[in-house]
Parts: sequence; C-alpha cells; structure tokens
Amino acid sequence: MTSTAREEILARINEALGRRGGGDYVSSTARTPASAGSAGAAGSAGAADESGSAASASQASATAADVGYRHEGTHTGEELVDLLIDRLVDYKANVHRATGDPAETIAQLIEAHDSVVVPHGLETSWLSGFDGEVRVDAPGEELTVDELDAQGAVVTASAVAIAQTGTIVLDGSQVCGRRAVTLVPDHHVCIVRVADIVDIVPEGISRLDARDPLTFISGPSATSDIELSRVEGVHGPRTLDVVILNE
Amino acid sequence: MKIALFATCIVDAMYPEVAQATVTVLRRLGHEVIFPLGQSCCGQMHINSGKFAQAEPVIANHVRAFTNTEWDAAVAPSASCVASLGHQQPLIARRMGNEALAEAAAEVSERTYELTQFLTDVLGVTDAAADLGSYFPHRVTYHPSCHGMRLLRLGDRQSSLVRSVEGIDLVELPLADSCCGFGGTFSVKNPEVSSAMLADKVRTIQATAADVCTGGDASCLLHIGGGISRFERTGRFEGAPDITAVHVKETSSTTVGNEGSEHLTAVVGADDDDHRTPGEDGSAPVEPSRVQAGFRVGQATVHLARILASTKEDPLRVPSEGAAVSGGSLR
Amino acid sequence: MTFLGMPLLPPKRRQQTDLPGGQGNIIEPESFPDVSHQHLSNQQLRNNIGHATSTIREKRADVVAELDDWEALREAGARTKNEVMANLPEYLTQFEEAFSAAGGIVHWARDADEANAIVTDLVADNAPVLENGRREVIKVKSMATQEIGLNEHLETAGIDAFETDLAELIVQLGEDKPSHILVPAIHRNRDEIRDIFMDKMPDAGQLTNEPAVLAEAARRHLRHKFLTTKVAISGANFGIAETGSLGVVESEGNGRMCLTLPETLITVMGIEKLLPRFADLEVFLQLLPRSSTGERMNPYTSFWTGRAEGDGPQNVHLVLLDNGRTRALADEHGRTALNCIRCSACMNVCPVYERTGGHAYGSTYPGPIGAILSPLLTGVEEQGNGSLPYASSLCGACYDVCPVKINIPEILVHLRGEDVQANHSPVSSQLDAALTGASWMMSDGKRMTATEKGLPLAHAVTRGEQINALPGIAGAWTSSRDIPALPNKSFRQLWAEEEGEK
Repeated sequence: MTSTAREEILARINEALGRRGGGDYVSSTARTPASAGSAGAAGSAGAADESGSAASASQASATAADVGYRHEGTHTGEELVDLLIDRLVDYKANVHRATGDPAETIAQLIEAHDSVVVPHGLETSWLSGFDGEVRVDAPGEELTVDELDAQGAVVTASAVAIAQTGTIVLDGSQVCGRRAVTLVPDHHVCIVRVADIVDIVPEGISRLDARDPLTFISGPSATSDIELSRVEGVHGPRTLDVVILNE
Repeated sequence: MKIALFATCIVDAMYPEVAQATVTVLRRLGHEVIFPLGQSCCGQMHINSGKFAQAEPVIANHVRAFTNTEWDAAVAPSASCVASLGHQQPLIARRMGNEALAEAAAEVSERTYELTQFLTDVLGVTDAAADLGSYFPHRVTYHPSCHGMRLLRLGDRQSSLVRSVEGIDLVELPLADSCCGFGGTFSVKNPEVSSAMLADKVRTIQATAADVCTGGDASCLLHIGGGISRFERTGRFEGAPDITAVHVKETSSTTVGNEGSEHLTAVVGADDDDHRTPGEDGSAPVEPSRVQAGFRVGQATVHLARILASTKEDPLRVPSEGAAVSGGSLR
Repeated sequence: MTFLGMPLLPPKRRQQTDLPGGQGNIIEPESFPDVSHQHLSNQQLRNNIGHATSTIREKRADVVAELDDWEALREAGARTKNEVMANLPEYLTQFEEAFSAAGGIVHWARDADEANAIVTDLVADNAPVLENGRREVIKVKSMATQEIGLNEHLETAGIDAFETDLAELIVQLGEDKPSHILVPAIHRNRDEIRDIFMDKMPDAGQLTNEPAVLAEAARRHLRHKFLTTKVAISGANFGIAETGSLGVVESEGNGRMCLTLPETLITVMGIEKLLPRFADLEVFLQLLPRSSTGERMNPYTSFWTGRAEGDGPQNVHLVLLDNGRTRALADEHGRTALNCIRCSACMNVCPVYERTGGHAYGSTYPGPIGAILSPLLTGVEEQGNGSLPYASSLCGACYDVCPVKINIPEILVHLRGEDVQANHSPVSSQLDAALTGASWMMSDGKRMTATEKGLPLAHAVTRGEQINALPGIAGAWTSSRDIPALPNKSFRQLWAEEEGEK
C-alpha cells in the first residue's frame, strides 16, 4: 500500500509540474540532482538545470551560493572571541575563559555537584580538579536515563562555535558525547576551543557533517511561549557554562 | 516637459480639487499639463476583487487613453494607482492571454509617476518652500499609504516634501506604517476588520492633535476622514466592535536646542494593566479613549498635493479657520 | 440601473487541476467575515495578540537589521525553495534513498487519513499498553500533525498524545485550538495560563503568573513523561535531500527530549519541506530564527539522519505527506506558497491577524500565509476557504518580511480570481453587480464622462451634504465611516470648461 501511495504522489507531482504524461517519474537512480558530500552547494548547480519541463527551471539553476550573501565573516582573533562572548552572554549563557589546562576552571564550575558525567573521549585531565565522582559514558557502557538524571552536570567539548549567533554545535563525537548525555543533566559545562570558533553561520555549517547527529545550542533552554517574552530554563539544561579555551 | 495627468477615478469623481492642485504644482514649475480625456481608472478595484475579465477592458481603456496622445511623463496624485499600473496591469493582461496589452500597459507604466516621486526623482524638487512657494503654517501629521511604502518604495519622498513646506509643523504619527484598513473592496467585504483597523488609525491621528492628516492617496484619506468624521460625530464606531489594540500612552515634551518637539508613544495593548482579565480585582478593562492624549475635534484629512499647492497668496484654510469639512475631508 | 446588453466576458482561461485537495484542519467552516465577527469583539484577545505581535515585530526588525546581507539571504532562500519544487520527485527519491540507507523507514501518505493510519499502526506496534489500558506518545510541536488532526485520531485508537511544547501544552490542557503557528497560545495571557495550569495540572500546586514559574511548572509536569515514554512523534523543519537528514528547530529542549530519549521516533513531514543540500542550511538557519522568534539563533536545533548507532532512537520512521500539496503545486500562480518555512513573520505583521486572531482563519495555518495556503491545499470551492483570500487589505507587510519572498499579496489576488471563477456568477452579490457596472463604465472614458454628468443631480439629491448612511453593501462602508459630500462637478468637467474658455 505504501508503495502505491509513493507512486501516486510522485505521479501527482509530475502532473502538477506539467511533466510528460504525468504518470511516470524520474527515479533517483537514473538521475541524481545533487552531488553527494556535504559541501555540495556550489558544485551541484548543474543538476537542477536538466528538468526542462519544470515550470521554474530557469530559476532553479541558481543555487543558494550564487546570490551574494556573506560566506565569511570579518572578525578574527580576539575580536572574534569577544563577539562570541557577547552573544553567549546575551542569551544567558555563563562564559569563562581558560588558557592551557581548563581543569581548575571546570572544577570551580562543578564543585557543588557530587557526580558528573563525561563522554569517553574527553581529556581525563580536565576533570582532575574535581573531587566528586566522574561517570564516563562510553559505547557499551552507556548510563541509563535515570543515571543521567541523577548527575549534577555534564562536561563536554564541542565541534564548532558560531560567534555571530552565540551558537555551539555538538556532533556526537567522542568528546561531545551522545545526545542524551548533554540533555538530561540540568547543568552543561561546555568547552569551546578558540580554534573551533568561526564568525558566521555559513562558516559553521561548512565544518559539519550532516550524517552526524547534530545539536546546535544557543544559550540554555528557553521559551517565548508566554506573551512572547523569553524565559530561560525549561526542559533542556537550565544552566549553560561555556569555557573558552586558549590552548 | 509635457505632462499627462492621470487623475485617478476617485480624485476625478470625489476630489477634483486634488487634481487641480496637482496641475497647479506642475504648472508652477513651468510644465505643460494635459489631461487625456479617455482615462477613467487603473482597474485595481476589479483586479483586487478577482474580476480579471472585467478588469481587462478597464486596463485597455487606460492604455488607449494614454497612448492616444504624446507626452513626456504621466503623473498621478496616487501611489496605489501608479503601483497598480506597474505591478498589476501587465500581470492581469497576461493572465487574460492578452500579451499585446500587457506590453503596452508596461510601457505606459514605465513613464507614469506618483506625484512626489516625479517631483523628487525627475524634477529634483527637494524644498517645497523654495521651489514651489508652498506655505502651510499648521500642525500636520502624515499617513504613508501602504502601496507608496511597499510597492513604489517611496521612502521619505512624501514626508520630506511635506516637511519642507514653509511654516508647517509636521508631527510624527504613531504606528504610521499600519494600514488604515481601506484596501479597496476589503472595507466592504470585511467591514468589521476594516473598521477595527480604521479605529486604531483614527485614535493615533487624534493623539497627534494635528489640524489635518495628510497623505498621498485620496482613497486612504477618504477612508480615514470618514472614520474621523464618524468618531467625532458619535464618539464611537457604529456597526463595528468599538475596541482597539492601540493605546497612545503619553505625550512628553522634549526640547532639543531651540526646537521643541513632542513625542507620542503608541503602545499596542502592552500595559500590564491592559492584560488584566476584565472584571478582575473589580476593575473594568482600560477604556482606550480615556488614556489617549490630545483628543481634538475638527480634524480632517487632506491630500498632500493641496498642501504643496498652498501659498501665502492663496493659502489652504484648515478647519479651525472655518474651512469646510465634509465626511472628514477638507474641502 | 440595468446591466442588460452589457457584454459579460466569459473567462478566457480556466485554470483548474483535478488533483485531490487536502483534508483535515485546513478548512474555514464559514466565510471569514462571519467567523472573524465573534473574535473581533473580544477585547482581551485583542490586547493579548496586539501586545505579543508588536513585541515580536520589534525583535525581528532588530535582529534582521544586524545582517547587511539579509536581502541576499532572502533571495537565496526563495531560489533554493523554487529549485526544490521544480525538481521535487528527484529530491524526494534522493532523500528517501539516503534516509533509508541510514536505517530509517520512509512511508508515503496521500492524505490526512492515510497519514493518521500509518502513525497509528506504528504506535500500536511500538508503544506498550499501560495500566490504564491505553498507549502513550510524546509529541514535539508539528504543524503537519496538527493539520491532519493526528491527536484526535490517536485518541480514538486508544493512544494518548502528550504535547510537550509549552504553548501546545497550554492549548491542549485548555482544550483550546492553536491560533498561531509559532506560539499556538498567543491568544492567552499569563493570567489565563496560570489558571489553566492550576486547573489541569494535578501536581502544579499554587502558581503565580510569572512566566518563569509557569515554565518551571511545565518542566515538572513533563519530566517523567520525557524520561519514560517509548514513542515520540515529531514534525520536521527541514529534510536534506542530499544526506537524508531531518532537522527540528526549537527553543525549550522538549524537541531534543522527544528526538533523543524514546526508542521509536515517528516524524510526519510535508513533501515540500526538503532542501537540496546540507549547505543550504547556511541560509535557512539564518532566515528562520530571525524571522520567527526574532532571535539570532533559537536555543536548540537538532539534526538526525536515519538511525545513529548507539545515539538516540533506533527505530526511526518518516511519513511523507501530500494532503493537497500536489494540488497547490499544480497552481503555477500559487505554488510558491509551498516555499513557506513556517516562521510566522507574516502573521506577526498582519493588521488583519492582529485584530481577529488566528482562530478566525479556521485552519492550522492562520494569517496571510494561511489565507493562501488553505485554499491552495483544498481548492477555493471548499466551504469557507474561498473567502480567505479576501481577508487582507493587501497592505503588503507580509511580503516584506517573508524570509523566502513569497509574494502573498499577489497570490491573494490570484486566488480571488479563482474564487470568482469557481464561486461567483457575475451578479451573485450586490458587490459583484456594482463592479460589473463599474467595469462597463470605466472601460470607456466617454461613459465615465457621461456618468459623472449625473454629479450635479447626485449633489442636489444629497443636498450637498456628507453621506452618513447608505443602504445595501454601501451600508457596510457607512456603518463606521462617513462619506464626503459629492462635488458638484468632476475634475474632467472642470477641465473641459477651463479648456473651453481658452
């Protein structure tokens, strides 16, 4: 039944687009409209050109990359770091800076907790200043949801930080952890290496792979659902501490 | 320059004085004005009502009227009608399968200007007092019509010209860019929503305590004037919910240098008190008309062409000077 | 007045598709003026919506002004979505292949009924029966599932669906309907929300009307559900054809909870939600948050591609929904409405929406986008949907803010044309008759001249006084507006006299 629905919907689309007969569709194995690979924006322009009968085919030749929006920001160095800090603070994240070894800074941030969780790839030395229990979430040794719920905090690294929007991206790597680990504990301490900071969104996207489970985080959880005024702290971690690390 | 006046149907039939003022202004700058007699309407009323088949002959008539004679530029005292020529006429002609009409309409449209667009962009008039001798020593507020703002992108062309009139006291209209609710047949098809929009517009105009509200579109001014007149006569908007989201909260005077300027703050339902459930704590909901500043009886609307045409020798009178007002429009 | 002998032009081209229209919560039950009437007189509603929309308008304007390439981003957004629509079969099949290769299962649903049936079967297969004899699912806010009436359908099948978005929770607990696509409870103020929570949350205790207190109450209310429920249902903001990835843009973390903790994840997504490439997000993740909540970036955005080994749900499904989208696509003058990314900027600036609220549109999709999308999905013949395109003064504010440049005013006018062809005879109403007469008069300047020769008579009949009340449809105008006295002579008469004197 589902295959029937599939064929019928694809046939409807062809009819709607005024393509021949309306009944047949071009399968993806015959033609692939976009190149594989996550940086295909510019490279895949040609594919859309081929749909001769499509009503807006003439417009389709232009990909997003063509129209002159910014692909790179203008901030560098300390200016870039300052921008990130400004934007993080604006959305109610707490920002701290560390140089070399962040262990001391991290220890201060989590000293009130009895137990914290870290992904298995995180530098063990980063937690060396913490007196409580450190639970390591590793493949085959995952903490249960209830165990995660019992942790005072989670400490992770990050994949990319976008300064302009105050956004930190986690990509499920062994230093960022699986998604539940950074979600269930109420306090997230996230280390951002200066080298991982980019200025604007396009620069951030270009460093990521869509096939990873991605989480973009901009400040602690918040809602604007009551009279459209922003309130921090709903279901996600209510406290977000960001440690910017100069290595 | 030989300028063809496109009077627009509403000005032709309801506000001949606006067309006369437009002619006066253009002649004052030394230009010849002609009036193609075959003209009637841009067709917007039919187009916006979905009557494309009925719009087509109206469009054809406009194109015929303006291609029968030679002229350098066409000028209309309306942003909405000029926008319709460019944005709608070719589109609708094409929809009706009339490509020749679409092309002819586009050609006429390319040489047709809204009055202040023409004065500013083509003739380079930036100072109405100096270039036109415009004189209007009264308190004026200005409503930018939607199609002037968003289709013609007039920006501050209209307000700048009005501000440059000698003696004028131009006060900013709170929430000026909100639609007055006219929208052609919208005001007939959805009269209650339209009235609710109009009520808010009228309240902000009243709060400015201006003698007149001006603008570049007679249709919007007809509508707004009609609302002002009704509200002044009856104290409410009959047949429409007498409620509003707009509260004009305060008038604070600030003095900058030698110039005193007044600042009005319009708030859209934003005071905490307004958010109390009616009757809670024994309180009635805030009555909007009581919190607004500067209620003024005797306001009227007037097209900016008439303000530009007003001179010391032949001044346009305001209501407080005994000028005739009819249906909220200055006569 | 008679219109005998007048040429009534037959429509030259009938644009119609026989593709089936959508079903479900996308239908205005009566005409918009009738439905909006009851909402217009609600002062509390007007205050709540006026306050909220004016707040969000300012926030949006501020963050948009921060980007000097905003117009280029809008253009890129529009072109990308046009590219998707022009090549939709290819992108859909490409998506399907990639999503399936990553361990996800794709289902296709022609309409609301079919989508509801697919989801119901999946829930029945994967959610355990609880002590109360029913099954439970948690939900992330989703326009598509609202559109197809999924919750109501699930309820009849013994499945309780718990909305986890704060505003959806307010609506669900208040046994209310959403009135805004981003903030479904925009019509409720903090006092009303406190009352609903205290009434409907057994564990809430005493609450104040502080938004922070109310948000905390929602957190406590839902926490256990998040940690224990086996099946979640979501929508999706984006599907990436190139990689088979799905994305949800949210604020509260309820989305992350639903997308991460349950064993089974079922996503319902309209077929138009695709983007060609992952890189296109560099545009859309700028356009959407700034247009939507007026933030530089929303707090959380999640992407998943099928099943991620050891991370999140291992049983991952996607239902691709048509439900009238192909019908909308067939309308060459209206199809760009499908480019909508559901940001809600158009309703936040709409003077009509601001006064009527979202319920007046009768559909999951209110405001300007709803006024075009609902009739495009169903056809203008469907109940009151033909009246929706008239619910606009054509002020154009919506087009200015649309992040993918949907020319809403133009499509509104186009759909009025469709409505006239489908639902009106030339003289089926007084307005139709008046416009027919006006067309005849205005098609010829001589007729206009002749008609205006009646002005002195009209001037005399009205005794040169302003007009305060008129019968019939003109009465709709004079219900709240006066009309100036008619001039004695039209401009063209005055002009002719002046020319004659020369």
